[in-house]
Amino acid sequence: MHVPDGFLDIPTSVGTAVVATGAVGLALRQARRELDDRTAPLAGLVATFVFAAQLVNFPIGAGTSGHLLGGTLAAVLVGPWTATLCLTVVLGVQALLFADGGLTALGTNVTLMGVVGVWVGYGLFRMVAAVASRVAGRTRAVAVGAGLGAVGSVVGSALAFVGLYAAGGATPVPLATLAAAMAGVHGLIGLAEGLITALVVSSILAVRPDLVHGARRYAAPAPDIVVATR
Amino acid sequence: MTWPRGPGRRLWLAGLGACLIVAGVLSRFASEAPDGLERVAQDQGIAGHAVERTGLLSAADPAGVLLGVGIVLVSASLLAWSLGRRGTSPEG
Repeated sequence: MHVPDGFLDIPTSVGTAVVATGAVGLALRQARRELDDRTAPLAGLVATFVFAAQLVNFPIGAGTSGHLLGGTLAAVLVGPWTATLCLTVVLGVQALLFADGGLTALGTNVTLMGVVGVWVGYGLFRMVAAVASRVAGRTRAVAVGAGLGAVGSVVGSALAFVGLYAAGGATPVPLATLAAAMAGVHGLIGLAEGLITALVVSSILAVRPDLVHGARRYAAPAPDIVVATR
Repeated sequence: MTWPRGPGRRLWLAGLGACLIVAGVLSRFASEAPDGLERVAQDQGIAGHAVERTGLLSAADPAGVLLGVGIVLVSASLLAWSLGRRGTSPEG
């Protein structure tokens, strides 16, 4: 998903750089509410996990691969504002040191993965988890919400790229075809993203539910009460 | 940031271990195939516009990967720590 230099023209890249700068500036202020002595170490770890996971491309068939984007995972674990900052650190290191994603495209990549990916995923997570928590326990509701949020976030980022390409793409292509291709491929990648996200979130919920930002609003499951009926 | 202590320390260490396994071991089995965007760009005739660059570090080099993991861990932790500290105490 890392956009290289040259795919988008300069005005569009400047536009996404402005959006990314604004979002990161806002996140720097808002993330303070999400971070304290207990959650700050987890935030560093989440960024590191996203960086590590983005090294692992998995095949999705037809000679194509994908990797975790991680925006939804980060948002559910440490909160959406902190997630934007985590993704920005990862994308910055990748662009500056590994030439993964362009330099003029850094604002584009932060916008696509650190803003759209995070917030689409977090928004869907909140909606799905709110509904699911009425019929399922906390762990399941949060894991299912995170998983479905992650699926949507990858498709959302892919379609956001199509929108940017429509505004300032390098060469004209049929936009409906581009949108269908991007949504199709990233729907498949999104399924894997959803599975990984749900798996990681539920394994942390199993040991330290108090550290999962997205689980805090839901009541802890009642302790099992064994009732002797006979 | 107090260095993760107590029950949180175990989770932190387990998480770091998971990061190292993913970055150091799983990444060796990573697919070489183009990713979703690269594939679509090839199919749609956009790929030729990509400006190729060479990075200071390479994800194909284990030392580069380890350095990258360390840089992300330290910079994200310092950022989160400084914001978290300011969040829990009055300004100034």
